[in-house]
Amino acid sequence: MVRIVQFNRYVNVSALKHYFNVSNSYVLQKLYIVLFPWRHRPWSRQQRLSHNGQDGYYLPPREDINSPDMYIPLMAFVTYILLYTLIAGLRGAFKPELLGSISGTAIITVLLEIAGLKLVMYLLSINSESQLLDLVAYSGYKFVGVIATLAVAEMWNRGGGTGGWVGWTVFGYTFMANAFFLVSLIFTTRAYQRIANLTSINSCAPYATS
Amino acid sequence: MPDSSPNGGSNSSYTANRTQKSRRTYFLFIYSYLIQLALMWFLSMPEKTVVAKVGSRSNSFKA
Repeated sequence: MVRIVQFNRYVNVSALKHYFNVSNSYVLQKLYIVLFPWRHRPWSRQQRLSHNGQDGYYLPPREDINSPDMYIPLMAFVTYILLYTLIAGLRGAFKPELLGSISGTAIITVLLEIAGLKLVMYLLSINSESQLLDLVAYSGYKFVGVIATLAVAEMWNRGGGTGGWVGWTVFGYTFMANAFFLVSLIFTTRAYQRIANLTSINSCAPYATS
Repeated sequence: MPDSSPNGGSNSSYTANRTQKSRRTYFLFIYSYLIQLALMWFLSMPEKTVVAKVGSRSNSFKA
């Protein structure tokens, strides 16, 4: 019980629940949007007003396809590690230490990205309340494109690596899709924030404890 | 950057906001394109280096 209280002191568990409130249909649709974002509309997140009509909150991923989640980034992260080690195993180069090194590299990459983002947001005076988990979610979606690149390139090159024109083409496509996805999401969210500031809309009020 | 002038007349604050907004927009595109390009490349490309290093270590161990 003491450990739960201590953990709650550092991580808002109730806010995390919002990001894992997903459904099967949401996961499938979101994966499709991450890989093929070109014709998706609209990008704005939906909100709901609370009973008093004063405050509002963003809908959870289960009810809003544009809401960022952490289920897909977490699963993609794990899949990336397993796929990487699978490829190494198929080449006869698997060692148990590879799991640790790959996962450590990926975690450090994400942490450095978030730290850099927070620094730049501070320098640019961008209000970052309750947006840290959103940033972690946005940062994790890139693993979906990386997995697609690794899988397609390795299958085409028959274990010869991700080089060659197929590998570079798939990489270029998944990169452009990821970039378009992020720009559309973040730009729309920023535009919405100007309106949300007038009505003090929270990111996950039903799950946050006061 | 935040306007530190004491009065901050309407024109100067409006100019600072526009400058801030343009900087944020540039940062958004730099983050979405350049930074994501570097990170995705780093995560997907160097597997040859990692696997080659692991392979060379295993061969040297066998020898």
